[in-house]
Amino acid sequence: MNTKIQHTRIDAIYASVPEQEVFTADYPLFSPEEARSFTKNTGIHARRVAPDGVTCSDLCALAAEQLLLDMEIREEIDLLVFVSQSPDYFLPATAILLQEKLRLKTDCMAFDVNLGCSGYVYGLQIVGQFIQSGAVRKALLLVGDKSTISTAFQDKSTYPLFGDAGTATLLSFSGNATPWFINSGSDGSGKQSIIIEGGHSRNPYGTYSEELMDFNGNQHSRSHLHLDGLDVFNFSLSQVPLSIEEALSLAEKSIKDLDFLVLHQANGLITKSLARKLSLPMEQCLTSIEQFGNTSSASIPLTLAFHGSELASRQNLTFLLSGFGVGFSWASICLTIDFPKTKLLTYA
Amino acid sequence: MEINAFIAHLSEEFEDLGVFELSPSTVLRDIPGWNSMHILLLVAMIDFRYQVLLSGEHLKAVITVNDLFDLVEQKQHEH
Repeated sequence: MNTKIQHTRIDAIYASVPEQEVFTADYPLFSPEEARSFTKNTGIHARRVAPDGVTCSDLCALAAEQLLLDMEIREEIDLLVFVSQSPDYFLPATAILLQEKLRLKTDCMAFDVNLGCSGYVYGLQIVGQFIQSGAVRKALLLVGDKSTISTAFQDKSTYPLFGDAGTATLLSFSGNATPWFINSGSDGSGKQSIIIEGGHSRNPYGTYSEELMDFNGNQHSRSHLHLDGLDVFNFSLSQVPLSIEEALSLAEKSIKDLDFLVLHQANGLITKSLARKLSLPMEQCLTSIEQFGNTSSASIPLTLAFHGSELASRQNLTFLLSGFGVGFSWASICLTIDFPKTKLLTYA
Repeated sequence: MEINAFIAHLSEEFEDLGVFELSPSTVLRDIPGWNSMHILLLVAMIDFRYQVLLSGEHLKAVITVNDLFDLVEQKQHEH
């Protein structure tokens, strides 16, 4: 699906990560050689892990609270969208809890969107539709995940890969904003490639064994995240370049027109392979995986906030942001913007 | 497509495995230090250099470097 969004401006992107830093080299299931190989190829040197009792919504709330204080727009928020696959409860929707926690007016629409790695670009698209329609003047897009709650310690394919993060993006109506061009899509045939099978309606808790099962030497239960790295890799290399080319084509631009490409930080090998395929120098690919691991839907806004100080006050930058993963689901957006205000916070 | 060039490309991707010499009869899983990451590396290299994207299903029957070379050649001809 191709979409053009008008009159929507990104005012600020704040991100929040837990204080606890966990290093790849300290994962006891890796030999020193494995740890070195893992870091060299995935790029992941360290990641941040939220302690028990701290949720994704807590991380998002810290980022959003600081953003609301800095921008002084608490009373003006008409819409709050929370994009995550780690909500606080089955119900009510976490967005509504955040409306109360952030002391937003009750005349504010709030809802959750259940998407993973494609979620930030989907969130921009959803919020942008409300803003360009004129129904919403200012909106908060809160995006993130506490992925570490669902990875099994015994599973080398997931445990050392994921980190936790929450983000808050402020969007507003602007008559002068340059249009955004978005390509998005879904392919449910990839559902088994990234899945947590147990714990919801299809396989409720208590109806299956919590025993660890072996998957090519990696062990996890049905309540844990299962990830088939090769399937995801193939999906990424085949679908993402097409989506990026489509978004660029809609914007009547080519890869050479980009200042920066920000891919979902799945792993360093996917980023390098996609950059190579797109003929874009790695210097133009912003990354954060080295410091934070794969932070699911938070990875794109976290990467932008992480690079905020070097990009601060730069104007007329053309970005291509592309999120892709669980579903399968993907979305790419081409936008030319003045770099927004950013902040990277630590949740202590 | 020539097997020595193919082996040279594979060796470049696997430099972290040290000085291990690859040959057509090398069994991939027997390479010291081999892990699932190396499968991704070889899939990425083959996609980039040979425009063939190999799935897990394709790779099931691959044991040796030569099997891999044959598979890539076969997939190139199918295109």
